[in-house]
Amino acid sequence: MATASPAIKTPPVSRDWTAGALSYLVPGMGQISQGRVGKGVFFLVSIYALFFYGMYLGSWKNVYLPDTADKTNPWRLPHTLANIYNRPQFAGQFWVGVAAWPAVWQYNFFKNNNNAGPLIGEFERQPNETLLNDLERNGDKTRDLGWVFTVIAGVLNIMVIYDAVAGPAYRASVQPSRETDAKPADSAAVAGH
Amino acid sequence: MPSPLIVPLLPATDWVAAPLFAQIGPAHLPFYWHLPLLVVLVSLVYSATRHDQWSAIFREAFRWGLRLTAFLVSIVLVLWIVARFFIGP
Repeated sequence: MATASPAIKTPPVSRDWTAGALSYLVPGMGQISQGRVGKGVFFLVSIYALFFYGMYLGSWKNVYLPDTADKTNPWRLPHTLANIYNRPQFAGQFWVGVAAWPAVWQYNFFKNNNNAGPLIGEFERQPNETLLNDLERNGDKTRDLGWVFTVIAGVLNIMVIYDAVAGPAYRASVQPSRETDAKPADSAAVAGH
Repeated sequence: MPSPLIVPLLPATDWVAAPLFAQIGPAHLPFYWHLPLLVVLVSLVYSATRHDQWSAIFREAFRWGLRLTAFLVSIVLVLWIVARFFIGP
């Protein structure tokens, strides 16, 4: 009867929820807090590059949560849920972390208000309809690609958060050390003598 | 004459005669310049969530980069075939 070779086991993963929260706030921050600095910095640069480059392609007017529930709410959803339903892009953009929080701030305090607020001005505020129409009329597909970049950045950060919480999907197997291997054999040799 | 595959990376005056991309129009050329950045970053970040060793990350990212590129190119081909043979003049 053939004997199965002993399986190489990887140690169980202990979930690091704090690192996950940090990686939500700032992409890669959780990995940096765990000592995986290179990977953390790589996530930070890559996710923010995608997100802000996407905003640039969209003339900095494609990350926002509009207040349109009063006009369009076919499913009679709660107000904020209806607004997200009307602009589902924000459900993806939100996961990029603090970089999308200005949109939440603007949504809560400057709905349909064209006056510049303190600190962040009109950054990530719902553009007025005239401006949106002008951008759509005068732009090309690049503007659409812009919000795709920002949504992909947010969705990719969900995977980065998971990496911070539970580690990479494929972990390196833990090989038994030579000392551990040698001990039983040495013991047997000693016993034989 | 350059290969049709590298034609979209050249200035508009050089590739305007290429049949595959002629219907897209030079005005939309910049749109495609943004896609390599997307493919590279998505491949690298996704692969970095799968592995911890940089060598494994780069190997996996290369494979995903090829898959994504093939996927995007296949969409271009399908759209071109539809435009050329079904709704073209």
